[in-house]
Amino acid sequence: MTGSRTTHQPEQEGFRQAMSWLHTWSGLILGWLLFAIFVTGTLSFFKSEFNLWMRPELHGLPASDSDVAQRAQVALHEHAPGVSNFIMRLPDERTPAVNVLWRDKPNSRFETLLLHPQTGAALQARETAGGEFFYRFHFELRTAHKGRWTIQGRWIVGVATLMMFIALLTGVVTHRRIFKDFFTFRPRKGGQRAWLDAHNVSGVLVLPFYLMITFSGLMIFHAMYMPAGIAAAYPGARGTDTQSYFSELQGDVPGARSARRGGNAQAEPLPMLDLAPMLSQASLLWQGGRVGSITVRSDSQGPLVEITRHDGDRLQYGPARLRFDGRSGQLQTQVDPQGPAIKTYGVLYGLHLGRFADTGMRWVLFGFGVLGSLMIASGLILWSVKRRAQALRKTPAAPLPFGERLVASFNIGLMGGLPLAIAAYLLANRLLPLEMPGRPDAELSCFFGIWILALLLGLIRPSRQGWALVLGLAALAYLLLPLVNALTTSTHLGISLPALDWSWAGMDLSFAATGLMLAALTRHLLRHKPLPVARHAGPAKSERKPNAARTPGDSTAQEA
Amino acid sequence: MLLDFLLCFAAWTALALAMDRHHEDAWPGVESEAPAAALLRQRLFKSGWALLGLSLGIALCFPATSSVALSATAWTAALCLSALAATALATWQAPRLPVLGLAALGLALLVFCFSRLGH
Repeated sequence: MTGSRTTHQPEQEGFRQAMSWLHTWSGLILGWLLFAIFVTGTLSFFKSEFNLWMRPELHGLPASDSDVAQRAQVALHEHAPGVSNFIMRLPDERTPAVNVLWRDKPNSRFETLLLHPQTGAALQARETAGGEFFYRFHFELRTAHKGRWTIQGRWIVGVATLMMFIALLTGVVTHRRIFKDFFTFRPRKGGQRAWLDAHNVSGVLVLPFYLMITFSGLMIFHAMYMPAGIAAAYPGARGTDTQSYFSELQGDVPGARSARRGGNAQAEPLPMLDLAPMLSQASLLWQGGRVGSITVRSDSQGPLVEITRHDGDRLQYGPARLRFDGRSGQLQTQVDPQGPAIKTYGVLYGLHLGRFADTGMRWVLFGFGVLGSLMIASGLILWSVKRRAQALRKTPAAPLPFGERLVASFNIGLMGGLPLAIAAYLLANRLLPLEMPGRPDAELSCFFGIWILALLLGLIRPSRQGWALVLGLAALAYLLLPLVNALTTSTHLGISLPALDWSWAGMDLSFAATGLMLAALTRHLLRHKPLPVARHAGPAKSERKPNAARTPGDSTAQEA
Repeated sequence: MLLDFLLCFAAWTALALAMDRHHEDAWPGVESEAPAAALLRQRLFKSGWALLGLSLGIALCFPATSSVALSATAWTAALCLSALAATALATWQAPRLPVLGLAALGLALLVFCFSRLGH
């Protein structure tokens, strides 16, 4: 972007300008979608915490008991007699309840049940998509609780991710002074200069995170985006044998007995199994490593039990598994995906999901995600600000052309409106009647309804007032959240703070902090008028030191 | 993570002070092209990179976490985080940059010694 005004090296201009064009337009076209993906993905680092906060009925559960798996199994058999398979996720410090999933037919949707971590009794919590919504939206644009079009959504997200990757790489080329201006942020200069600084600084300082998250995001769905290699190496009777490929990727031999998937035939009902000896054997083999989940299914040879290690125990995703014969309790196989390619894949996958992260690291990842969202936002705003400055330089008081008006509206509605819509979703979780039919989808209607309303506001007022209005509403909504929580539940700050219950108090405090920050931003928007265009629209201040690029301290700049 | 952050912060501070703009912001009145300042900036530049290398070496050779992989991940996160901190200070508290950089280096030494004592 700065490249368009520097003319002293014409032979280099070609490449950088070509990249500048690509960077600007790839960023603009999918910028709003990328912003939404980035924001919801960032919230997904706290998926478990959102899942919990949005089910206040689960407040105050005790720590789990060592026999909980057995009791939960009994409860499941009572609840769903004749069940032939289930996945039981055991409680950990982030999720207090036992979560059991099962399905009646091989390709039907999973039924879920939440169980008490000590007694194994079924827990009644409100119906909600919870934090799963942010998670599902960020990689398949899911818009309903039991959404369809998920494959199409993944393709769209994939294209956007590829664009993000292109924008990152071309960004390093385009913003020529990116390394020379490495630590440079000049908010007081205002206007285009400040926005460009903000875009550069938020872009370059956390570049390793962006590259990692974008590349790994593409890699996770590699089988979908690039199926040709798998098709060539794994030919099957009917097209590609993806199942062999995936079982090898998970460290299995193709055709091995699996507790995860089996034939389509209706399986025998599971008998009651003695899980305790298998769990203690797992604990022994993993030297105290935590058990994450227990997967059980019955196939033609009887019940099969697979114990999966907790995925927070190491960086590489795809945790080690132990496979037992269900009846005898005998250990059959130990599966731990190794091998260089599988490990690379697992590590990138693990980095993306951040399951390895403790609370501190989780907040750091969250902060990087917020910064990434701000980088995308500042890039989109820069597009508007720059164009406006150019237009006003040519003809003062030039009217806003249609395209720029549209971009400004989308910036306000789609970017400013997103935090507002998220707050509306959380408020709906507390305020909608509990017995309402289709409650999860009603919550989502609030989310998308408010987002569309914000877009309409943006279309009517594509100006500073429009921004102030949308962000002011968002500030109000976030500040209301702890209050509404206090009025509707017994999980509020008055209870969670004295008990030092940070998984609950942290949410309310974060909402309040978000509200205060948005309020400060709104106040700034209303109080400070933008500086006159002529003062800050000048080129980057490279004339400060004419020969600065030749000093040793700046040798990195020449590589940029 | 703390040690990574402190060492990387000291390194970024040195690299920032090696740049003409931040050098003049931190020491108002100093002409960054003057021979003495130019020599200092050259040294700051070299020590900045050396510190970055040192912190990576410590993260890989003395991992504070359960595995080297996690230690390298934590180092990368600390690298970004400390760059953000250095930039924020260069923006709003430029004259304090040299002192804070040195303080971080001193604190890093203490943290390293104490963590080694435990072994």
